[in-house]
Amino acid sequence: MTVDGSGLVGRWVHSHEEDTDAELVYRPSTFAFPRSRGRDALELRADGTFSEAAIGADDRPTPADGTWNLDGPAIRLTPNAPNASIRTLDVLTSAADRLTFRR
Amino acid sequence: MPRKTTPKKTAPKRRQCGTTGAHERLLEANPAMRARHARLERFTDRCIQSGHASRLMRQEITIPVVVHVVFKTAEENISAAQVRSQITALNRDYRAKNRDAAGVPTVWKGLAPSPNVTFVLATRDANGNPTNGITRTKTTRDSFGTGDSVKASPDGVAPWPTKQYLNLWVCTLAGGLLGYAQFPGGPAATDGVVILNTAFGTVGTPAAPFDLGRTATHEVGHWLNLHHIWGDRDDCGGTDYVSDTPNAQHPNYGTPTFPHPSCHNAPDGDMFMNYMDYVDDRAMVMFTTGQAARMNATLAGPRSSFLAPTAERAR
Ligand SMILES: [Zn+2]
Repeated sequence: MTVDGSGLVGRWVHSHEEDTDAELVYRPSTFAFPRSRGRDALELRADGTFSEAAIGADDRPTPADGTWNLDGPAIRLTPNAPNASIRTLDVLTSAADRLTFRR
Repeated sequence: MPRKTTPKKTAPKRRQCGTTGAHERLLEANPAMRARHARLERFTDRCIQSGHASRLMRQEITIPVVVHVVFKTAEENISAAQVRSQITALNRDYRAKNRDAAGVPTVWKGLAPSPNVTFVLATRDANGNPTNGITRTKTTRDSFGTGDSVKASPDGVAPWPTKQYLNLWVCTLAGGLLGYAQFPGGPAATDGVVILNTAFGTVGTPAAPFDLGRTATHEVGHWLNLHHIWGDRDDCGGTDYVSDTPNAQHPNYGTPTFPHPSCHNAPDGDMFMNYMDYVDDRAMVMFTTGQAARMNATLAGPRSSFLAPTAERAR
């Protein structure tokens, strides 16, 4: 699929209740999420930077930053931390209220 | 996040197979914390290898608890009965008296011992005065984040001496987060665990599927130095420092069906019914022998003040 980068800009929170064996489902942070032990989140900004919140070892979200770009139908994340690896997220579907990645 | 990794050219070898977990990132950013963590892991290993941890497990250890209820609304000001129901739930799980342990898959049945830790609401405060072990603090905040403002005035309340009491804060957490903890070795001013009021205890305001008091069971597990069974990395390269919990890739949620394989752990798969996974309250039912030993090693080490006579006074 063709992915529109501007449509990806925003803060996306893992709606893990909606995950399937094939896809991971993210929703805008305004979504009415139920209570959870933890959710990871990814904020993609128009200026090409991102912030993410991973699930921490003590259940607190743990932040990290970096830059992102589109690589075909995938989002490539380059963290600022010197030892962190570049990651790619394969976008399966992209809508204003729902973004899914290949699991 | 799902991740397929492409190593940066500058990345050291050990990172090439995956991304760094949150805990490891923290440790890397802070050399003093990293050294402390390594020392504690060496101590924990020795304590388990020498048999000291399992000797301790045969001993009754009682931990005085103070519950700090921080509230804005009347509903958030939970009842003493709700607080007591949480202590009962902790004792059910930390003494392996939970009847739902019958649901442990046969392959792991022999692996679910009693950590043999008992929790009691404090009957004496730090000055020796009688107490019911519950403090109540009115706040102007609608909710708290994970920045620990619930653990200090003006918005929250400071802990009781953390070498004598397990401090449990109960409040409304932003974003629907159920709770968070602090591992041994952190700052005393914030030592303890924080739990969402609607996931606390078994009577009163807790709501399904988090109404069996298991959020506290999980968070107190962290307070006793247990890690998540997926090792806080999603590339199968993480560890929870315990050998009898199969390596798992991701947190499991909801009420999974056995078996759920990941990380080459088939046929038995993830031990998602472990208290240190992310499943619903009714789906988590066990600690393992390795986890029980690790918790008891913590009580022999960084939390040894709870074995000392000072802890007696607080009961
Ligand atoms: Zn946790």
